[in-house]
Amino acid sequence: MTTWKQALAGSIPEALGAEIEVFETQIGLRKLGRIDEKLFAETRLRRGVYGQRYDNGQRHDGVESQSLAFPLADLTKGPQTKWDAPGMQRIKVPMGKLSSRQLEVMAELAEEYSDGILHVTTRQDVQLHHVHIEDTPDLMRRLAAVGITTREACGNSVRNVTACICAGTCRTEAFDVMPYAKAVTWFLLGHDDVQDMGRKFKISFSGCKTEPCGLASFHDIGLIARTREIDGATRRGFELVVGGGLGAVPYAAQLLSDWVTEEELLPTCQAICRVFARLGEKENRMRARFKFLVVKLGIAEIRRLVAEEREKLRPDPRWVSYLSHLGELDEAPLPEPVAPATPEAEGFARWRATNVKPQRQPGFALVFVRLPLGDFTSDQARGVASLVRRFTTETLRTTVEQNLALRWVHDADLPALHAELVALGLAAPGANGLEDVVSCPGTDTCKLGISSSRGLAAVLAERLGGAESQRSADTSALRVKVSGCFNSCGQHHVADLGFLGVSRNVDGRRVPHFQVVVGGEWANNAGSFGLAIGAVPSKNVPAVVDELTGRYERERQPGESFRAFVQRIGKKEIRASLERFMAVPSYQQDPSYYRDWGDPREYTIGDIGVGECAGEVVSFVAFGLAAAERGLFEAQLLLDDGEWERAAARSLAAMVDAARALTRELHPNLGTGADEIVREFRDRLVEPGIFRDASAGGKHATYLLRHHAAGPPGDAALARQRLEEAQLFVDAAHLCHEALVARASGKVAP
Amino acid sequence: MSQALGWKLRVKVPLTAGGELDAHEVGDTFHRWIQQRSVDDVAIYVSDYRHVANGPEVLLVGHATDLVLDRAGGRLGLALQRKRDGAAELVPAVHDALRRLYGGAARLAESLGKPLTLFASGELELRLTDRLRAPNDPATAERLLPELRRALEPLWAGRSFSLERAGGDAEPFGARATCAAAPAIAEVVAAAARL
Ligand code: SF4
Repeated sequence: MTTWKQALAGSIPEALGAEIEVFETQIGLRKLGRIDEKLFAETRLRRGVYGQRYDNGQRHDGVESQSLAFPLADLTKGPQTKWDAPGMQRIKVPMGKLSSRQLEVMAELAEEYSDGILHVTTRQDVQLHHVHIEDTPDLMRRLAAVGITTREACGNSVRNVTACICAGTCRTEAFDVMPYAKAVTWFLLGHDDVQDMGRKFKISFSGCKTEPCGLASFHDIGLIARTREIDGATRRGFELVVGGGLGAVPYAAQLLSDWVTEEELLPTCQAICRVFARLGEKENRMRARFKFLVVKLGIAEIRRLVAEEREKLRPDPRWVSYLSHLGELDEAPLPEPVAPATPEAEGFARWRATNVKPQRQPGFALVFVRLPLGDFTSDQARGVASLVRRFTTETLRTTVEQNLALRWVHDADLPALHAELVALGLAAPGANGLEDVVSCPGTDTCKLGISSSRGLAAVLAERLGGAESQRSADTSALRVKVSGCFNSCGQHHVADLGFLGVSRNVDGRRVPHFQVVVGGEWANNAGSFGLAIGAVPSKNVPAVVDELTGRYERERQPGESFRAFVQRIGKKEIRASLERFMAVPSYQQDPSYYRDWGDPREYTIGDIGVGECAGEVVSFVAFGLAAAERGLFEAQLLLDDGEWERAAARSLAAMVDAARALTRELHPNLGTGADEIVREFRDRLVEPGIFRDASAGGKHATYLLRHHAAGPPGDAALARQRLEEAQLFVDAAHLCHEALVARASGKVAP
Repeated sequence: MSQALGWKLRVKVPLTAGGELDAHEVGDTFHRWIQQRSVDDVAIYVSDYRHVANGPEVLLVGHATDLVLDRAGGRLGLALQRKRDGAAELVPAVHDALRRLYGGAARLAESLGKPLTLFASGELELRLTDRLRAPNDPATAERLLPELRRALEPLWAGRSFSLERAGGDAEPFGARATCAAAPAIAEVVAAAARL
């Protein structure tokens, strides 16, 4: 039978295809027990293949914990992670930009490998849940065929680069940041200098300082567009902030430089990544994000280190090559409206008031499609794709508020577009406002979830929807965001009303609670964080929202923001007004408090697992040595198939992989050409006597030097001999790695 | 990978006209089945998508199959989707899905204290979600509709039924079967159990 690999041959860019092949081989090797589970875990994370709740094979059913009897009971895909347990596939969508065809393919994947639902995240990614790991190579191939890679979507890597959805259409932007964000995305994707990080690393772009879109203040690198007049010409550059992050304790990013020229953008980002990879915490994952390094060393020292690292970088033509085609991502409208005479359907006026944002360009609008909890079905996705084709020129975006946005819609087409969205069940008004509650996955699918953020968000959205006539526009514009635990993926710190899941013990029973955080600032690139007020039982959160929005509605002063209101009346007063919601009735009085939203099971925190947000810390060398092992395995298969010439080439490439991994430890600017790698390996590791082991001395190093210098082997027997020697070389490389680690830590090499 | 061998598909029995099921109650029932360890698959989770319009409302997520209270196309019904470990041939794959679907429908009605007649006896929707084996085109229709017909024949006690291609071009290959003179739903459930 035809496979997806065969069916898509010729449609997948070579590099993406090769990466997926490698991943598929790694899956095979793990099944054979030939890759360590930790290494495999980080490998799959770097392909966006993430764990999901219950993947340790245990699930509490409300009465007791049940073991899930998966077929391959003993096989794991990471520490305490069952092979057969379904997982989440994160699909990177750089800057949220998607074509209609890409969306259609995601819809197909959702119904074939997942549960028929696409989920938009708070970082503009799309996630599919309940995906089996063995389906992921084909899933990735189908994405690659439409130009999407899942590479480095999770794990200790540079995550999806986010950007303003209004870029290019916004009244307040300095310039369109899209081409710059794209350049950073592709430059850092798979770059050697971002392979050795101790934790994930997030970058965002914003076109201006005052609007929220870029959310620069809580990113590892936040870039804010600005211009300067230099020598009579307008020059483009960026204000660059670093070390922001949410999590349990949020940190606001600090100013690294108020002016980074467009030519220096890529090397500066590269230098920052290098500093983080070199000096960031690797042992204690709770302190491994870049924000901790910035605080530990101070921004002045980080600035000095980045400048120093910048000087050491090997020049790269890609730093500036993209500048010659900055207009490549420019979007244009359809020449004419397509359905200007369509009558306005019921609800149009409110939808237009809340879901449509006029563009800088007169006559055009940006339309938000509100997705409840970020979810939409495969059928709806296909419907949206056809609307994108009909009403725009491929201008779709995913948004950080878990919605979709269509840009460049003719004002005259808004009634027709609205009517089509009504037919799709996607015309809910109130986008990005009070009823459009944002939530992380929480206990639905996240291994770390403490309380049901989605259950709560669904209840809040339902209660708040339809009550807009009783509210002022100021109140309707408030933002509510919910996180299932302190990791803050729901971005509750920067909401007007934020909630984070916690648990409390009442009379020996667990009760789901949410910590209330008020007065965070979404504007000014998420300019400030909210105040924690106290924890309330989950079941009382809707009443808390009523209380707080009601007070704001009644007591606010003209023009007063919610944040200013909170500051004026004070934390003490707010806490006093919430005190009555904090009590928990006894189980006998009201057992519903002891269950979470949307879940009839008695509440427990027993299902919390080990998170994979942090990934496994696997060094660049370990990845390189694993690649060498994989190469030897493939060479063996080729040899077994009688393809001895290809086998010899593959085994030599495996040795080069191992040599590069080791040499780069001493020479971070090492290139990728085999001649350079072999030369530097000889000069830095062989001649100083570093690459040697107790029994063979430096003999195994000569295999690489000899095979590289010699041409292809003349027959199968010689190819087999070379493969055996390559195996000895890679084994020796492992020993050399241990020696290097011991040397670095001041210990004696084994 | 091994998945290439088995069919992935989805069958749905709609509710009779005007019929409704409370998604909340269905979700609670699915949870109870898990507690009772009485699901014929490794039952993993109950997903709640009531917030989504015209889609799955509640899913009993299993290792190889999901049982879904589903409103896709605007019509509420119960669906069974086979995600993995399916039969390599279409007819046995459909039979397995029908057995599970009608078995699930009967059990759900019983658990909720509802009459089995809540489910339509003479209507069935099919979707072959495996786009590699069943691209949505006329050639697939020509090749697979006869097989689907053969698979459905035992369901309605040999009575005549129509089977038509259904759904839009961008959707997976779909078909709708209608048996105007279908026997009572209890008989259909019994027939499915024998497949
Ligand atoms: S905030 Fe916590 S529960 Fe929510 S997705 Fe992040 S880690 Fe999971």
